[in-house]
Amino acid sequence: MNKILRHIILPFLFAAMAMVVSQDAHAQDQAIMVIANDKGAPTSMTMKELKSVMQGEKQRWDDGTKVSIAFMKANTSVGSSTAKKIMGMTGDQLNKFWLALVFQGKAKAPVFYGSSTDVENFIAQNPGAIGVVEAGHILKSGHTVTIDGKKNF
Amino acid sequence: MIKLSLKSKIWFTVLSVVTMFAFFVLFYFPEQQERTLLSNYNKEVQNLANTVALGVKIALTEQNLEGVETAMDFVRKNEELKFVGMMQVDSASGEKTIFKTVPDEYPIPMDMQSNDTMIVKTASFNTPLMSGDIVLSMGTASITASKKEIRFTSLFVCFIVLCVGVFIGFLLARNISVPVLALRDAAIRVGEGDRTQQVKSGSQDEIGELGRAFNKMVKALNVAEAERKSAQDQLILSEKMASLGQMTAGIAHEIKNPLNFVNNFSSLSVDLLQELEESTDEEDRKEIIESLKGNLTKIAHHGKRADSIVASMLQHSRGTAGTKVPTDINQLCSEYTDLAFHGMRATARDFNCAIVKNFEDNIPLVQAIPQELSRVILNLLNNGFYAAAERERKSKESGNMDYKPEIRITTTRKDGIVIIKIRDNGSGIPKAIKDKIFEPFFTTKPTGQGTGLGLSLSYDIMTKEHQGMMSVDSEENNFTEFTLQLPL
Repeated sequence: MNKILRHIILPFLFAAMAMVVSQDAHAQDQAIMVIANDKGAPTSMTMKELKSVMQGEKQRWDDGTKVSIAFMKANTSVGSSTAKKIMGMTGDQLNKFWLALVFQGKAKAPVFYGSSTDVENFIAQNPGAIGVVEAGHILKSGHTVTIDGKKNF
Repeated sequence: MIKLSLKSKIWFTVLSVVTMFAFFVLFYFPEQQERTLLSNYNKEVQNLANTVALGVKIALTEQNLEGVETAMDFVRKNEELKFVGMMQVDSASGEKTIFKTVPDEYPIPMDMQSNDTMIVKTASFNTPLMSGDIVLSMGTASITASKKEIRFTSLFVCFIVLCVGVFIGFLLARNISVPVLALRDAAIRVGEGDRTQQVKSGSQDEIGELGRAFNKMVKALNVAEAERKSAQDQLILSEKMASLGQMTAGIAHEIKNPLNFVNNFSSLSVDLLQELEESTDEEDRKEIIESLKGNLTKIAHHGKRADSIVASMLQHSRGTAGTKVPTDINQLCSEYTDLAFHGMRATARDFNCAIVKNFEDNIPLVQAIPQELSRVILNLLNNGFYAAAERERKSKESGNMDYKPEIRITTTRKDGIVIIKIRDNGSGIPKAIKDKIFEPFFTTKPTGQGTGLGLSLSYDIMTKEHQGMMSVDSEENNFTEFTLQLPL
């Protein structure tokens, strides 16, 4: 029995734990990139400026176009990385944060999608739209916004 | 019991209906409408709170904030919004904390309740991320404004209804009350004897029919009255003729006396004229001439006496009413007592009756219609003789031979009134019929012997034509006494 425990079950448990830890580390480390409609958003921003936009504080671009935000859902790795890397929040906190803003009418509600393609499509159709997608996503329209000089972060 | 005129009843009815309507319009209906409004408004606020709570739930569950945004836009644009708050419930302790409010920092008490100025509704939401309540409060200004509008409308409707009610009241009063009052006045005047009354009956409704029926009735009444008058005149004439017939024997007897005198003095005068022709002595001739003068004076006197009797008879039978003239009551009573007695004797030769005349001497002339008054006296005397004869007949049938018929006629003067009493000791009047004897056509005599109008006409003659009185006192099988009173 000890032999079985030692040679079969324990190695299996360690392997499973390693997979979970590896997956979590992968989620936290999911690289993201910011994309935007050609109208409105600049091609480069600082992280502070990006945070201001993503928290609904800056609601119009410099050319006057109204800001529209598209996130990936918090239960996606891109979504949770977005909350963490840009706003320093968890996905739930991001939801509650935006719920408060929308509840009080202080900002236009962002939209949440399950895939980078859906985010890209939304941005392509809405001038002034900005969103976060998986790093390396190949754009068919719009442009990438470099944050602090980085395309992916 | 309060006496209300027809017009008052119409107005009372109209105003009662208007008042009832006003009560419902001013109090009951507004109250119901306000309750409905408030109930609907409560539901509306609750629905809004539910919508917001659902939006929050969807937003937190599916990360779709647009639902919350839509619901909140709808709430925020509502002018009645007082506040909307999101309460967060701690899953561990159950303690509620304010998550966010609109407007910002609105002080929401935890025990916030609805009151007159605001409606407060709560809707719960529950998500894995967060649980809590949406507290929505809306003002009631629109409800208050609606209430005022309802009250104003109710007041306006009441005013309109009142005006319509007053108008209807006037119409009813004009179309019902006025014709009915006119009909009443006309009926009163007809009752007072004015048979020329007619009312306007232009309308085609029941009031108009009533007016036409009234007019027809008055015309029919006039015809009936004319027929009655004619029949009455005929009856009165019959009564006069009947009494005249009864008087005939008496009249013949009365005329016979003066005629005897005339005949005797005429024969005597013829003899005296013969003596006058044969006499040569101047003294004798003068004496004869004086006797002749005396005879002719007596002939003239008794001729006038006979003429007076005939005139009296003609006067008695005359149809038209006479005028009042100063009349010697004692003479009238005496003459007609004799006439009645002899009339009675002419029809019942076996009957004898003692006549007792007791006339007061100092009775002045009375303003009376002799032919009418004589008819009364004659009628009462005839009744007296009849009653006395009846009692005598019954007495004899029962073997009582002691009964002595007697008629007593008395005249007296007392306190400006002349009283004539005619009393017989006949069969008397039973108590049961005493109240009926003055009614027209009431008689106890056998058919053909009395019209039943004698006492009725006598009563009318005494009371209506002479402003006097006529009464009777009687005891069955003892006496009957009629009393006539004539004012001086």
